[in-house]
Amino acid sequence: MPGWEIILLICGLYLLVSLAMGIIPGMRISDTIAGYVAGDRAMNLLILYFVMGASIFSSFAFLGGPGWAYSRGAAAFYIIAYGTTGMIPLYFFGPKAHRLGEKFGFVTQAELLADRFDSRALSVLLALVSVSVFIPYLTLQMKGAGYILSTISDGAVPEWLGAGVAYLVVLTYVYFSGVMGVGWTNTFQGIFMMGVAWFLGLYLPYKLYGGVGEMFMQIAQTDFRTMLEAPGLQSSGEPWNWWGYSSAVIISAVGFSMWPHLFMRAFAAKSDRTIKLTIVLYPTFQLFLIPILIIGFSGVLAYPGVEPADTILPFMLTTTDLPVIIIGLVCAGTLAASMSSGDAILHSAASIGIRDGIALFLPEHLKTDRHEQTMIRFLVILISLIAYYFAVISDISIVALLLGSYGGVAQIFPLVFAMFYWRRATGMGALIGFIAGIAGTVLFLLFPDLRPVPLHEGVYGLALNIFFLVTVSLSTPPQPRYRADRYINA
Amino acid sequence: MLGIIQLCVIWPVYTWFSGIHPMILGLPLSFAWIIAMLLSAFFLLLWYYLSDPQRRQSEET
Repeated sequence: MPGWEIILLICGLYLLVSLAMGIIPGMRISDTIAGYVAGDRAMNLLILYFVMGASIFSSFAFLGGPGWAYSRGAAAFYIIAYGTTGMIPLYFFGPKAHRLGEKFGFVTQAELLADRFDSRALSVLLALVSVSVFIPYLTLQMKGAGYILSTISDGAVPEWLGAGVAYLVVLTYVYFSGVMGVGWTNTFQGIFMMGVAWFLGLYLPYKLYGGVGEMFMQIAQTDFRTMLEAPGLQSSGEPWNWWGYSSAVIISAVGFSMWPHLFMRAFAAKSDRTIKLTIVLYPTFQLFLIPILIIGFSGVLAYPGVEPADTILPFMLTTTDLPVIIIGLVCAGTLAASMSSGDAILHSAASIGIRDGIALFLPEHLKTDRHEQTMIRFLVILISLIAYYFAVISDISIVALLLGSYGGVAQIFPLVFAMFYWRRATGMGALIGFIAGIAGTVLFLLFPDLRPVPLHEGVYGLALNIFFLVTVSLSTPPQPRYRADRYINA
Repeated sequence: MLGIIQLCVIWPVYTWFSGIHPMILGLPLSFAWIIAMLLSAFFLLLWYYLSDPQRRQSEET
């Protein structure tokens, strides 16, 4: 489209600011694992709020979110529905994890679980599961970044180059600054993308229909009416059923707070109060989804039949007559959304991979703080390369993998709950419960026809998980009392 | 209380509010309902935070 040089210039400026914001804070943290992974446990409310918020709103926010609203209507409300309560468990778990982290030097979720249940296998398993859901997640973010740059520049910037440049910036600040780089850039990126989303969410309906209310009135008067009735449509266009919708909301809400890159932030917080306030304020970040969904709805009548649905926003940008500067800002906003999740995921994947996986198999003399930090940095580069490979070269469908990931992550919930509140839970119970949960989820994800009722596959996994956690725990000898008490009373 | 809100955004409670009309502030009822639930969860947790006994203790010490 004409004027794309200006758009790219705006994106370039945005990338430079991100880079600067990412590198500068890294100079202030200590050169230790606690500094690199948990920001010296000194994150204040502002940064923690944006890290938690912006990490979640990935390139899904500007591409997938409008796409859902555009193609599936009210089904997209599901994203708000699970966020309503999904973060609340962290209000209770977070401060406990934070205190234990301070006392025993933990920086990851698996370290807590492995210590409470005295099980190295559990730690390695969690590391494997985390890294294997993080890589497709990161790949999607890279694809989003590459996609938006190439669409807007009419292909002058190919996808591989767009994704490459954006993620080189991410790689650089994650490599140097660790979690503090993630924190400061997410604050900047978060404010930026919120501004862009609200502007577009109000401007597009105004321009196309004369207002948000007017837009919904018009949709309600046409055959698209069914889209506005909950629970919306399935991807096939058939109405979604309440079973599927409700179980998907529950599983996502259960899994939400268990995402390792979110849970880990409890260790980075300055105090209990910071964590609690962040969780309390979290729904205010969720409000940002309202304009995102409105953007999608605004395409329903104006531009029917855009395929694939995820491209509705770039499509509207290029076909609706908008000032170039605005399009530039929207592109930069999309990049911000992609990068603010990508950086958190990249950082967590590398930290977890080393701390909870590889470090356990190293000889003693390599287990120093300095060595581990070097290895995490090395893994940051390696994981970026793997994800980049999948993003630009390989054609494997990763969306399916990611869809299953919430079911998998939700399986951590019973373990964390038992860790803090059930004295009798044992290592063997936790391990077998977790394995059964993951196995059940994967089984029904691969063979959805085997499900007795069309519930989300994670529900079956969760049922198996809890069953085995309870029965195996009760039939194995209890853990030493001091170990469990440390967690119950934390 | 939070459990009730969770039930409000899924079956069965959400089915009563899943229609389009009446429109609230220009949004269809199904959309406005979800937003109302989000806000009520926020205020509920805020209230819980402000009345949290542990918080009072830590401020006194």
